[in-house]
Amino acid sequence: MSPQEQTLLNEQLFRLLDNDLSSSQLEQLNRLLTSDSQARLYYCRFLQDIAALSFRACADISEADSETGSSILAEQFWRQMIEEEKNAPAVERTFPEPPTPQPLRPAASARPRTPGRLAYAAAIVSAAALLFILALVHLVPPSLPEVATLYDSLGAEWSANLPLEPGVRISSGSKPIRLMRGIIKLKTDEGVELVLEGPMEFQFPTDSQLSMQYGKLLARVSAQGLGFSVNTPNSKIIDLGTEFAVLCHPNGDAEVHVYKGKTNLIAGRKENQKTSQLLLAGSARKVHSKDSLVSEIRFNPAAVVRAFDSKTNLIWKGETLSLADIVGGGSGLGTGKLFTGIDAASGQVISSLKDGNIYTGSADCRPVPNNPLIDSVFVPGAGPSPTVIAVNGLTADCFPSTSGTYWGYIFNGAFHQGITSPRHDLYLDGLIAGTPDNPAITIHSNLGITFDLSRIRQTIPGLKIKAFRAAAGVSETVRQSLEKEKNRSFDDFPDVKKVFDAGFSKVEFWVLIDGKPAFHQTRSSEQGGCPIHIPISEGDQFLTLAVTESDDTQAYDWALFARPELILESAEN
Amino acid sequence: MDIQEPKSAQFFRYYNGAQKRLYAYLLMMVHNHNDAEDLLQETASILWEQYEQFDPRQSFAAWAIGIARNKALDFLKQKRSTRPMLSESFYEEMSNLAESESQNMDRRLAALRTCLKRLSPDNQQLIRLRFEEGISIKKLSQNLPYSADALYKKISRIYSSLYECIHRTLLQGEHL
Repeated sequence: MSPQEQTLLNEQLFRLLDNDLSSSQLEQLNRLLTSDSQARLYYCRFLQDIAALSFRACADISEADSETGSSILAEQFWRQMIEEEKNAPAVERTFPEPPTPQPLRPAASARPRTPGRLAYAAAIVSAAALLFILALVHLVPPSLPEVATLYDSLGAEWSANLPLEPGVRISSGSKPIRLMRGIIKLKTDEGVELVLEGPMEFQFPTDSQLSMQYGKLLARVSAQGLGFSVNTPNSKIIDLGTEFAVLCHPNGDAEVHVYKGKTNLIAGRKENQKTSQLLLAGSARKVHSKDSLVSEIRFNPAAVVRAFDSKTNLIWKGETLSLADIVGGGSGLGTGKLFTGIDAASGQVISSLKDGNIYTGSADCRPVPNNPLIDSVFVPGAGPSPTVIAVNGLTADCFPSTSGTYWGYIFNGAFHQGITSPRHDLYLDGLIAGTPDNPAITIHSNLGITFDLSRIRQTIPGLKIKAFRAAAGVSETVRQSLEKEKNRSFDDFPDVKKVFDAGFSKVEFWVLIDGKPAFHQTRSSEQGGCPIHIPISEGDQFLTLAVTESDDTQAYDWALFARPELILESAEN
Repeated sequence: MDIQEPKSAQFFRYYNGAQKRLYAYLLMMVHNHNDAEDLLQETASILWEQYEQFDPRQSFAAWAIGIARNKALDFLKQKRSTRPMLSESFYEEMSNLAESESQNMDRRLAALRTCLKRLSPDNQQLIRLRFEEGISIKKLSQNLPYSADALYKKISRIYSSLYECIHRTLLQGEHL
């Protein structure tokens, strides 16, 4: 093939790519390609090269010189274009359509914006040329706007060797960014906090939009960033003052889960096929890739990473902190041991029940040296009021005077084993308590435990404790036990007889914040669980749970706090 | 609390390694960027759905291209009635040739990278605007002092020099 023939074939192939060949030209090309094996080979290599030049995943071709070479290149191009235009006759040109929005490109470091080339050009070219330069600005954006800052990363790796230091500025660019693995936190200049999980491919078409091809994202939008939107291949989620997650699956399906506020979900690619839905907190939708149809799905509060801390490797997906787990020696996230708890007499951590005896406690508050998240345990109302409930001497004057007697220990789990009662699981609201799905802290009357919220906060950097939640009740197994022993005489045990005569057991549940009662209720074994929800402020230091005997003595006071947990939220909220 | 997603992470590792080749294959088959991108997306979706069937002892790229070939041939069959196309026999032959040629993509890509640097700055810029930025010849002609025909000729000449450079580079093994 001569150079001229080759150039001609190139032109035909470029026009074929643009669908810009006439029928006769197409026929001519077809004849050549079907008759000449060398031409077919050339066709293959031509399109392979064009694919490499065009395909966005081939960013490495241009990025090889992007840090230094491209700016020089661009400068030269600009100078040449300006020079050409200076000598060109003034021509009337139409202003071009807005270009395709420029996606994001990570910058090596935060740099002040340099004076635009537009200013440079304006000083040396004619007014006619200036119009042309204005047009070119849209085609060759020499310095793209910075839109976001990298705040933190955990196990993250970009597809290219790009920086991950906090403070790195992210600007728009010509190619999407691929986060191969790990998590990053970005904050846009509009005040939108974004947590992105790799593998993910994304870009910022504008400072108020993020487009993702695949991956997981959490957006937390401040009032300043209201209207921020996330685009997936087949949907657009517009924030209306909210916190929401978007999961874009490899097959193109997209999920939206709304944690706070509300969003507008627009599904569909073509204008006339788009649908719009308003989503409220606690709702979730899936947009199917094949037909862009929207279906309701189960809301998943742990759908994405909602906060993380690279110093402690903490990753938070919306979980609560289980106080039962903490009593079991864990972090609150499932590492505690079942039946591990605190001996009220010594404050020591023990892993099983010593015996089924009834003890009489002292008025002293016992520190818990082997569990830093628990300040102390105590026997409420055992001595003169007020009861000391924390090692620092904090007292509570709300507890009534009690017998000071108690059974067992305060532990992660729910069972009872007495002198006459065989060991058995405790039940509340028809559910077995003290299981992984339905954790519980057993606190017999008269016992109390104080959690150190300040220390718990130290284990969850970037998060704050929003509230305490639980269900308090006396085990339904009390009735069965009483029935089993109905023929037995309790004349010698007047305290127990009182419970037998009533047919149920009663206790008083207490929840205190810094020594002040936030919840108090008398509850019997016939009433089931009582929901508790107590807001917790950032300044609150101690959370205390306690159970005291009611007027029927401590017998059969098989009390428990089911699903006792601290509700967390991002400190950014 | 675990952030690892072994199956999807593994899929993406394979897919990221093969997607340039897949895209090139599809572009060779359908010679249109938009169609190739749509087909790539559809192929990726099928690959993910059928990933359980992939034998990791085999080549992911070869498996993926097998699926892409079927997608492309179906697509060409559908489009034949609505737009001018090359002959059916050409596409049949191309489906095999494109696969074998795409095996050399990495070597060719390395040579292309070398040769791009040897272009003059304005030619590099033009290539970048046309292909990386995806600005059409028509739009470029509205903003550059060239007609669309002149731009087609200019870009064809630039590619000729690139092609020759790639050919020489591959022969000399400069890129290795």
